[in-house]
Amino acid sequence: MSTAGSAVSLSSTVARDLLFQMARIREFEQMAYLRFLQGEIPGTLHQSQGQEAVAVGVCSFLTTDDWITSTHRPHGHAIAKGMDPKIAMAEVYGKATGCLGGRGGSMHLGDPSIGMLTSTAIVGGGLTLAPGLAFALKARGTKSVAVAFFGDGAVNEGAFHEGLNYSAAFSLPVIFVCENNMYGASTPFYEVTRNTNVASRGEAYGIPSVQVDGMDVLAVRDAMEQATIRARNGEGPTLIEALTYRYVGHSRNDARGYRSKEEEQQWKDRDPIENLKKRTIFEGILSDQEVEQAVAEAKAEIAEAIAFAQESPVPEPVNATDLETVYSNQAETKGEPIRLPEGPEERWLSIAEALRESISEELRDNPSVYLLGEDVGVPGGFGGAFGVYLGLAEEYGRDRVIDTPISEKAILGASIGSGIAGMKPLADLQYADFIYEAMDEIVNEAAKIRYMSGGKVAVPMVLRSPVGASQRGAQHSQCPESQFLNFPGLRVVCISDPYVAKGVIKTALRGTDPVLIFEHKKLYGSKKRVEAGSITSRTFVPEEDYTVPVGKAVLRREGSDVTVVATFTELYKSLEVAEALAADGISVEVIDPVWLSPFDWGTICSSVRKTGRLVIAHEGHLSGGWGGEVAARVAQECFDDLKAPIQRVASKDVPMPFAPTLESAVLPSTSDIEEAIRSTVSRGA
Amino acid sequence: MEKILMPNLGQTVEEIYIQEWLVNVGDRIELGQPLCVVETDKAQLDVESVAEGTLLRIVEEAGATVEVGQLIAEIE
Repeated sequence: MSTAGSAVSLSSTVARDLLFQMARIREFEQMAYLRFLQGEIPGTLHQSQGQEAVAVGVCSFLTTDDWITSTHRPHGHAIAKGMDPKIAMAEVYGKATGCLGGRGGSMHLGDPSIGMLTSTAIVGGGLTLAPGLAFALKARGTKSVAVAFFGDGAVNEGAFHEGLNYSAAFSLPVIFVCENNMYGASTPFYEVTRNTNVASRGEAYGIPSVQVDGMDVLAVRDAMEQATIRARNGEGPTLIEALTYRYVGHSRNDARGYRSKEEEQQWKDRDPIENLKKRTIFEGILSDQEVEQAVAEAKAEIAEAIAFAQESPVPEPVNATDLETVYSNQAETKGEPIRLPEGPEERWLSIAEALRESISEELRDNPSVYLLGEDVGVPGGFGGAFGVYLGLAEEYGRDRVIDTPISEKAILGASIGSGIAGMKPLADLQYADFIYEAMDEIVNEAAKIRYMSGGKVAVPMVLRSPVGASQRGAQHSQCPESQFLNFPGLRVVCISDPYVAKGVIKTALRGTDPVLIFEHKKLYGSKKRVEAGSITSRTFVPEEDYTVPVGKAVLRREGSDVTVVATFTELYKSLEVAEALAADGISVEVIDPVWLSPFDWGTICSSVRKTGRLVIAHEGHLSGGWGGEVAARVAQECFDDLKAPIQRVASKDVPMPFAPTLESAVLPSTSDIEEAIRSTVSRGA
Repeated sequence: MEKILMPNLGQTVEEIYIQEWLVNVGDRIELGQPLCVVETDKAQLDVESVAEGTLLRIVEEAGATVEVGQLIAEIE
């Protein structure tokens, strides 16, 4: 760790620009503040008066090809990175002309065309995304860098640990810029940590780290120059801790009762703008007149920005629900459901084999595709927890089959960031239970960035993870797929057969939406690892290249008396029951929805209109499971066609126990499905 | 002409007492200049000018209790 001082020489052009940039941020913030007080701006504002030197010093070394991630306090970062103050102010006002068309507001300023991701208002959020952006910049052979701005409040978040370690492990061109303004909202930093020296924490991860005077734009520039040289030369990340101060409250309506006027004055005496003015005049770099002119220009520009924002139209309400801004690939609503093709036995594959074939072909055909996860490529290792990747690292190299630290937030953040910056990441979690470690990345970033950006930023990213009980107890058994239906912006897939396995991986990797793919441990059919109670799902998989349509169900068996909609192991139990009941003259139609989002309502509803009866079977818990959503929707749309109440078969609402006798008591059984079918068929005949 | 409205000074504040005006009618006003001192149930604060120009009129004198958003002065 070192402490940087101010630069010695400074050209008048650079000095004038630094002054102008800082002055326009100050003016932007002051004017926004005053207009907010007059009730013109909805919501709230998080402002950065006093912190201008950090934003301007850092961004003065960046081009539009470099990315930044920002925070809930992004106005200064956006302007310093090149955003026109007009569209920044219009966004703060919630106007249609804003950089995000009013979808984001003050806390989410961003624009991919200037290399600024929509800012994340989750403290620490950018710390796991920046490594992903940087990975893509590096993998694509550019010399560009990613900068993550964050506050002192973020360094006690897990994202700080995971983002720094991940970047260091892979020598990624990330520059971590901590704006240490000494307070997380009203709480003093020193009260919530023993180590207030953020730079020393960077050192702990093996990252060159420096503490600088964040009130001195030249000191910030010095540190940034070193950091960018290192990053552009492939030497990896740097952490810059800039000691700074926000003159204003955390947000509007913060009267700052938690700190003294004396403390505020001490920092204002070191004002970055006044200091640069004095210094440049004293050293003869700029004249009094040049200084005045730079400030006057900044003020005039912001006055225009305010007028522009005031006069701009509000967004049309209809834009709020434009699905093109939520997903790039819309659901295939026309046509028949998929039917599994038939073919010669030598092309009967297991799900594990179909997945490997599909992933291998995509790695071969698209240099942007890469795989990341725990234990996926280590020589002599597992080849993924269920052996799906065996041989891929040897074939495509360990720079495309990447063994990550056990660091789910970083894995997902890296996937999202690298997808945004041009890669096609295929992430792997060994068990779906671990997804909760990365919920912020999935829910707050992957699901929302496209929408917040008004469709400007796509998040192509695919996550695969295994679900289901297999005698491993409560934390290695869950079926979390239903939970993700409640987050618009995500696509959710359940793979239950090898044909869909091969096709859907290609569909997902060739699309540009975040797709969560869930697979069942008992259906893999992996030769290396056979789970107790495994089900054979081996079926014909065409050798040629094919995709499956987004949102199309698979019709597994045609019938006329009752419709069963089921996934994973429950699908196979349902097929078994359907076969047995045929002997009793009960004709069961079995549908595998495949996509939970978007759901194939057309196929399900037309089947129910035909049969008049519906049974839904899934391994996920009954309450809050996707079956509830399907039951509600079908009850609403097909009420007049229903002859009997809709039945649901699911795991009981208790955590999954370990002992086989206990586990079986919680899981839905074949006889549960049979009973449900018989009970619905017995009514309304 | 710019209407100066009583700003929202806190999430729970509705009524605000004007303690003292710091400027007089006819004064030249700068952007951000404190115009008056007000008291809420939580704190004593300055109301800053959102416009520059000449103070045309004080609508609510010292001693008045006003609501958030109420007109208190005009600047031209």
